[in-house]
Amino acid sequence: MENQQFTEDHEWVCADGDCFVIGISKYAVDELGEIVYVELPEIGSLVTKGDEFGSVESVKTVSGIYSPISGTVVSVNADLINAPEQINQSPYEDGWLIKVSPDPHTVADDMQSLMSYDDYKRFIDTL
Amino acid sequence: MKHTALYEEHEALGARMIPFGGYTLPGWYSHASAEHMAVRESAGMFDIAHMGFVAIRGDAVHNAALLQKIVTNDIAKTQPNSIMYTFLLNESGGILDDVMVGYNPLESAYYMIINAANKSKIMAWLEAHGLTRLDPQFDSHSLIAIQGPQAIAAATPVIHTDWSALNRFTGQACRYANQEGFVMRSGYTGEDGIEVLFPNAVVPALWRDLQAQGIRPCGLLARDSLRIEAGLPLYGHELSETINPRHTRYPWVLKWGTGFMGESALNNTPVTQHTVGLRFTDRCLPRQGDAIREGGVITSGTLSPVLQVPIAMAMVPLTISIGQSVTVAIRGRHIPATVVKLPFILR
Repeated sequence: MENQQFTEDHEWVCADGDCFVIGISKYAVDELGEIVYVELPEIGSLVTKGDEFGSVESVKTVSGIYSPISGTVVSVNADLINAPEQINQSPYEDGWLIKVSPDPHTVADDMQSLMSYDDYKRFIDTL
Repeated sequence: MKHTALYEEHEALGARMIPFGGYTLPGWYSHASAEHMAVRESAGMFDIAHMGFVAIRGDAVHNAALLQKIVTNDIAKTQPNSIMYTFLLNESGGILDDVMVGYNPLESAYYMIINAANKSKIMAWLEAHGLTRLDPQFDSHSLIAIQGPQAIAAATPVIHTDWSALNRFTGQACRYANQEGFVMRSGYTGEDGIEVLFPNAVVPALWRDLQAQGIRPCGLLARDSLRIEAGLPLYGHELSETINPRHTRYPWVLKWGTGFMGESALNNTPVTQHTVGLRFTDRCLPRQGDAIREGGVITSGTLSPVLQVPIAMAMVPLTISIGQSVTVAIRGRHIPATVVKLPFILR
């Protein structure tokens, strides 16, 4: 988790070449329970930092997913449509949600406002 | 939020705790769907200490007459030691609660099991209708439900009672660790099983002993998906003060012509809806309040662990019939469903 940066809404983002991969944290997954449905944006759509781009749904509840950074969606994890339980099983790897090409004008500021894993761990201890 | 006597047990088992009916209870331990399947295939147990068990002591003949005025079903069905499902209605025919009422001949006492969220309302209702010597066991005792095809076999080494006498929907005395308890052959899962009442002091040890017999601890999510598969109602979903009891799956608990509370109001109310099942093929999670385009609304929904498809209960106009295709608006999507008979699972 050293490479991931976290939001207070429990999303993570991780650099992958020129792009960034986005997912939700183990904490979020444990709060939701078994995930049964995922709604993800289309490739080519724009995401804005702090805005909802999709949702994950468990029997317990529906939770919006908010983008940690602004940019353009270049890839979505299509495996999740029929196997959303991958998010439960592997939130930081196989359970990734989307890949974003960042907005070059905002990416530095966007990333600066996020938490390191250690900071995020301290944050969830306060919840 | 109240804690039950088993709170520390749940914490030690790593349960994800959620609020329900004023209590903090396990939502699930590890996987809700695996807990569900344990109940369908072998045995699971639930902390249902939020349910309100009240003994109704005093003269049984007098109490029977008072109870008969406020229940819709025939109180004579509780003899000699049976448990009866019934509604309690207000004067206008709205459902105050759905309860089990039983008779315990050893104590010459009636008892009632009230839904968690309705306990204070129903206790006040019983008092207002003249019932005296009410002895609520809400804070002194706990109910545990043990459910599944192996439930009784697995509980037999731990709980002592005359198992051969314990027919479906009867109750009788039992013992655990030299403590007197009460066992009922009843449940809320569509499976065979029992619900036991014991003093709080022995309940954690009882829970651990039952677990040692291979009975799997199960949370509220499994309890909900089990009762939906079995087509069973949950107060606040399929039943409420604004739902006509004749629109539920339980018109047979209304004994017409007996003058039950709410009868004359219901006589003048037309029957316009019925309770049905919906079965989906698309991936979705139908929830209470989701509207059906052809009419009516979803009252409960889940993903069925047995059928592996989304299912729901719905209250719909009588014009919508079994076998019909309908469209449900679920979080902005329009999703097809087939109207089916309840229950989803026949045992």
